[in-house]
Parts: sequence; structure tokens; C-alpha cells
Amino acid sequence: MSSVTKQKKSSTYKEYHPKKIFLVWAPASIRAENISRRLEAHLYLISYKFKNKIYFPIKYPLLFAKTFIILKREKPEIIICQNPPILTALSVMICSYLLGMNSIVVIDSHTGAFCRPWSYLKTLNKIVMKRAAETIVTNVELQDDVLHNYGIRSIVLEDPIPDFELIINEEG
Amino acid sequence: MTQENKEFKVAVICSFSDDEPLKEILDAATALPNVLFYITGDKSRADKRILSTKQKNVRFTGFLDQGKYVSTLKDVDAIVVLTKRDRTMLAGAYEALALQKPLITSNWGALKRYFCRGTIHVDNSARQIEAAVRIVQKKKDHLEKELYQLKLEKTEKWEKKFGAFKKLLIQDYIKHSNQNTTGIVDIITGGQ
Repeated sequence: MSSVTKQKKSSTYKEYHPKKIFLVWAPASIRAENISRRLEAHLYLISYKFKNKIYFPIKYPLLFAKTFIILKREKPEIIICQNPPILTALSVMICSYLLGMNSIVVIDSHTGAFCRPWSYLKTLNKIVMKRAAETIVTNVELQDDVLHNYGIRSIVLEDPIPDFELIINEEG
Repeated sequence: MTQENKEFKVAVICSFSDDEPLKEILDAATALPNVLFYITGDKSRADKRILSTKQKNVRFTGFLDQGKYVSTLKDVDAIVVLTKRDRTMLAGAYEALALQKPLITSNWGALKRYFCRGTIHVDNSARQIEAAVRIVQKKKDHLEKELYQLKLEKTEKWEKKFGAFKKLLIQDYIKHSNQNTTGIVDIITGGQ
């Protein structure tokens, strides 16, 4: 019996423990680190950097492939994707379909997602955010922007205030 | 050693991105020769012409590991985190709140609303950054007390909000699980 089926039979929220991952196509993200720690989600920071810019176009297919491998291995039920780039969430939706996964996608949209160069992908942003279970943003002003310019209702979730003692202890 | 005699130290949390007023910060440092400015982050991305204006009281720390980064922040009297981009929340500002260090940040609406106490908001000009450091020098203890209160208040609010968020995720998950698997056509068309 799959874990999904088991969870369907539970009756209260406390009994649900869907497997969560936080996926970021960047080498670092303080917000993602802090939220994933609190959410007990496995954080994946994936990135490729090429010295020679001629290789830049292959970065996204590589990130897609890496995402596919992670999802295939982890089979998460809730996937939180940092935006920008919106391509992370789009890739997750495509990979989930290809893998026959029954997961939900949550998009953590930062201010940068709505500024250049990512604002050039406004239509794609809109399509993908509409397909996500939730979009979270960092502040009320951004929430208003996302509603008026993208027609998306989002949730404001500020960063948790970091607990440095805990972070340093965890890092050993 | 009294507070007046002790060298006043400021950490500037920086990523050397285009939205950070680095030139204005260095100009403010020039006007405050008795204040020591530690600018964190990898400066390889910074404009070399701007870096060349650095005075003796400015030290670039380079990229620090977590332990050194936190001990640097703990060791200063105030933390400066600025952005020229509206609607941006700054991780460094949350770190200042975590350590209850008087914060100097930009006067955008989102930052003013969240960091409403223990914080001096500036228009990113050198003149206001300089003035803000002088205010912190005078009111450091008071600002720290305000930040202590703000931290308690924000922590409580965040925990409530986060609890609701976790509950919402579970609700979404249950709802989704009870539906059939979405097809790629549905992904593209939104199920229409």
C-alpha cells in the first residue's frame, strides 16, 4: 500500500506526515534554509556554474535532469519550489507527471521573480503559479502586486527569525 | 571602558548586488572616521571603482562561514542592510532582529512595516546612513530593548502564521490526493 493511500485513510491533520522537499535552483538561499528546517523538509540547493559562458544554455537541461533524479529518488508528496526561476516549478510539474507522482507544488516567489530578467516570463509565471497548490510571498506589497498583475492569490509568509545557536549546532 | 570611548562597530551585510547602495555606504563611512565598518560578502562582484574609494575604517570580510559570520555580527554595535529595490525583505535584517542588534535599513513600506521598532529607516543616501549611525550611537541601548520586544512579538506571530500554513499544506495535499492524478494536458490547460 502506498504512503499516499495510507494518508488518505487518516482522519485528523496530526496523522498526516507527507514527505516534503524544498527545491532551489541556486547555490544558496537563507530563506529556504530557514523555512525547510522548520517544515522538516529536505532542502535541495542545486546549481551549475560554468566559467565559459558558451556553456550557459546547457545549465537548464542539466538542472531539469537533476530535478528528475531527485524527484524519482525522493518521491515527495509536497514540493516547495523557490521562484526565481519559475523554471524550477515548471520542471517539477513536468517531472511529477512523467514519474506519475501525486504530489502538490508550492511556489515560494521572491521579489526577484517579478523583476527583470524574470519579468520577461510573466505569462509563464502566471501559468505555472495558477497550477500550483499555493504561492507564498515575503510581504504584503508583493502579495498585492501578484494579485493585480498576475491574478494569483498568494499567502504572505515572512522569513522565520533565525536561531543562530541551533544553526551552528546543526552544522557542527 | 565606557561606551563613548569604545570603538563603534557596524556590520554591513552585503552581497554586492546591483540593488545595494555600496557607494553611499562607503561615502557614509568616509564621513564617520571613528566608526569601524565591516562589509561582509564576496566582493569579487563589486565595481572596482567604487571599492577604490574605501577608507581605512572599512574592512571587507569576504565570504565568511556561518560561525565566523555570526560572531562578526555579534561583535558589532549595529547592522546595516540596504536595498534600492522596493517590495524586498532582507535576510540580513531578520538576522539583526535575531541578534537584537540595532538595524539600519531602507525605508521601503514592507521593511518599515515589519521592522517597526529598534530600527532606523533611511532613503539609502550617504547623508541619511551617516545620520542613522549617529542616532544608533546615541540610542543603542534603547534600540536594543525595542528589538527585544519586537523579536518576541514577531516570533509569536510567525509561529501562528506558520502553523496555519502547515495546516493549509495538509489540506491541499488531502484535496489533491482525493482527486485523480493530473495529466500533462491538465497542467498546461489548468484542467479546462
